Parts: sequence; C-alpha cells; structure tokens
Amino acid sequence: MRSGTVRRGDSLSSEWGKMVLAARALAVRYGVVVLMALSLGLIVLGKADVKIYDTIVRRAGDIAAPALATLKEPLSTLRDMANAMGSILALREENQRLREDNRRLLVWQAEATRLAVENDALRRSLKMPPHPGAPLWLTARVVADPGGPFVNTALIDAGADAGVQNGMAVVDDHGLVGRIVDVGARSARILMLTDLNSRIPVLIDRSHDEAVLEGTNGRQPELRFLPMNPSFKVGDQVLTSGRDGVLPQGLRIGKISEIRDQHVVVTPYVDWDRLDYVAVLVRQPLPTPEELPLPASDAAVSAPAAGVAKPVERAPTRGQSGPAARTGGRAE
Amino acid sequence: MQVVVQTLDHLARRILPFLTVAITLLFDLLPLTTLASDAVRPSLTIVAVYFWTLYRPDLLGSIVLFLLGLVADAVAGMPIGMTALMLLCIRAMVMVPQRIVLARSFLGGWLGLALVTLSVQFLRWFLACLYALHVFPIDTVLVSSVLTILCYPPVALLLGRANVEIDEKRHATGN
Repeated sequence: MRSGTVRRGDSLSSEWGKMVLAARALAVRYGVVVLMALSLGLIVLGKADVKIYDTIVRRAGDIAAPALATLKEPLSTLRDMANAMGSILALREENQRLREDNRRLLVWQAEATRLAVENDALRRSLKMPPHPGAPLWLTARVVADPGGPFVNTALIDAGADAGVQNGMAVVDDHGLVGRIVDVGARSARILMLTDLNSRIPVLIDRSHDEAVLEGTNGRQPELRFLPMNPSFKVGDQVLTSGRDGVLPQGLRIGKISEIRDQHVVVTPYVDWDRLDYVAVLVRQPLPTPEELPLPASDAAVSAPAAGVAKPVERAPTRGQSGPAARTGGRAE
Repeated sequence: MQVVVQTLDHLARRILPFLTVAITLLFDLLPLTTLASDAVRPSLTIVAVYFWTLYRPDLLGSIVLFLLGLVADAVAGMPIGMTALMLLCIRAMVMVPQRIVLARSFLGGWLGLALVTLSVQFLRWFLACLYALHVFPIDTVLVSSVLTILCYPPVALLLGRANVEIDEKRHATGN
C-alpha cells in the first residue's frame, strides 16, 4: 500500500515535471513571437493616445533621470577635457578674437543703453504700459537625448517639483531650444524646435515678415505659411513672434540659411552637440487690462469718470512664480 | 559565508549580459557629441544584444529584452514597444541553428551583425514612418547602421572578455 502511494506520487511528479518542461519549451519556441506581437500591440495602442501611457512615460523619466545624470558626468568631463586640449592650442587666436568681441560689445552696450532710455521716453509719451522685462528662468541639466531621425526630444532633470510646466520655453545661451511638452515630478521632456511635431510662430527681424517655423527632424527647420510677398533674405535673423500666446516674444532662434523654391531653411543658433545645461523660462501670466498700471496723468483723468476711487494695482510680480531655490535670475 | 559569497559571485556573473545591455541602452540615450550630422549615432544596444544572443542566449531572455525595450522607449520618448520589438527581432533573427557557424569566427559574427543591424534599423524606420505618417530620410538610418557595424570590433572585444569571465566561472563550478 505504502509503496503504491510512493509510486503514484512519483508518477504525478514526473508528469508535472513533463508539463513544466513542455511549457518551457513552448515559451522558448514561441515566447519571442508572442512578445513581438505584444510590442506591436503596444505601438498601436500608443497611437490611440491612452492616458496611462503618459503616466508611465513620466514615471520612467523620473526614475531614469538621476541614473542618466550620474552616468553622463564622467563622460561629459572626458569630452570637456578633450575640447580643452584643443582650445589650449588655439589660445592666442581666441584671446585676440575675444578682445575684438569685447570692443564691439562695448559699443553695442552704449547703443543699447541709449535706446532703452529713448524707448522708455517714447512709451511714456504714448502712455504705453512699461515693458514686462526679461522673464525669470530656472536652470536644468539635459540628461537624455536619444537623437536619431525619428524623435527630437530631450529629458531634463527638473520637473513639476521645481516649477516646470507644459508649454514653457527652453533656451540655452545661444537661442531657443524648444518647449516643454511633458512634465514629471523630477523630470520634463523638451520638444526640440527641430522635431517634426514642432510649430513655432516666428517673426523675421529685419523684414517683419511672419511665418511658422516647422521642424523636419533634421538639424534645420523650415519656414511655412509665408506671407504673399515676403521680403526676407538669406542671413536674416528669426525670432519668436509670441503669436501663439505660449512662447515669449523676441527669443532668438536662428538665421535664414537657404531659400530655394518654397523651402526657406533656418539654421538655429543652438549647438545641438553641446546641449548640457538649458534655461526653462518661467511663464508669466498675462495681466488683465484692469491689472495694468496706468500712467499717473491718465489715471487722474480716467478714474473719476469710470467711478473708480482707488488706483489699479500692478499685476502679480514675477518673483512670486517659480521656486526661489532653482530660479537662477533673468534671461538676457 | 563562503557559500554566500560564491552564490553572489555566480549571480553577478549571470546578470553580466543584462547589465552590459542596460549600460549600452543608457549610453545610447546620453546627450553626447554625435559622430555625424543630423544627430546620427551608432546603436551600441544592437551590438550588445546581438553579441549576447549569439554567444549566451540563455543569459539574456526574451522577457528581459522586452522589458528593457519598454523602459528605453519610455525614457527616449519613442512610441512604447518600438525598441522592444527591435530587440526581440534581433533575438528572433539570431536564434537560428546557423548561429553556431556565425559564432565560430569573428568575421562571421561581424557579417551577421551587419545583416541584423540593417534589417532591424530598416524595420524601425518603416514602423516610425507608418506611426508618424511621414517619410523619414532613409540616409540617416543607413549612416547610423554603418556606424553601428563599425562599432562591433571594440564592443565585441569588451563583451568577449566578459564572456570569458562567465565561462571561467562555469568551468570552475562545473555548471
């Protein structure tokens, strides 16, 4: 009796073992196919704009950002050292060039000061509200940039916790990089101005022609929706027009580098290969007409007529938005 | 105590393929200087996955590749599933009986990588075009593939050394 139970138990365990082995063989044989089908299904689902995808992507960004930042540091140092070796050799020429730049910029500084005084006087005489000034910004480090021809996005190590919001403009010391399109707690994604999905309303500095800068996924975006008789030419500077109400007006983007048929190619100022640190411009809420300050003489005349007894207060100050810890100052 | 150390050492060696693929994935995501214009870079992940599937497929399973691919897509901002599909395609292409022939010689391995790289990069380009309903330039994909193929010798040298470490341990323990 006892030996019979043992035998039955043995046969059961051997059958169980066979089943496990068969399942394992099936998994090895067809596992790749099943997972490939699953991957394809996920790609199709992603096209349907499922909300949980955004959450997963944000979480993944938050988790990966510190690891990428740590891994990037020694590699960036190595790259900087290699670059420094090259620049030491060209120190004499660079010094001469910087002296020349300094002389030229001093002339421009004097001119800018004169123009600012003149601009203020003209604004006062036209009773225009004062210029809002340069926006506040916070600095972030670019920790991931997959590159490649399919997406032009980058991950930065500052998110909602630092005050980053969707739609904020991102610049480096050369010009506009792009705008924030996805925000996690500790990371955010920049949609570069070269991405296929990027559309930025722009203004040509010299000719005042307006257009839309469209990304091509290459290094050089193109101008679309051009005016009927444009008067721009190669070399003209392209700035943000601020027409979308999202990006601030007057941010430098690049120069028109080529005009052929209907294609107007813009070369951005940003050095895409050295995008280590960027500034996220903290968006300022537009003041309502009631919040705008009135010139003293105008207020004295209009207030009694409108039946308003006290003067209108200023719009919320820029210093109130964005955490002070990360806020670096004003963009130049 | 010695048993614990031995077990940990054994585990560390077994996860070596996973670790190297994870590092190459992170490396591919880092914002480093590009080798060619238009942000074209080699894909070290393709080389690492190809190498381990060729020499040690038992240590880098399909599920691991699938999960790594999903994480890479989420971090890179690519459509979720794109990289996972690419990595699984590499495994499906390499896991054929003929891989023994490829694995015997360095040149055979290199030629195999060239074939696999061109195939999966073209597949990714095709899927990306379908996804975005836009024809992306194929030349950047070709340049990236060539750079990836050129990266094989140094990466294979490093991974080959890691493979020897795993094998040495296997011989030592008799597994």
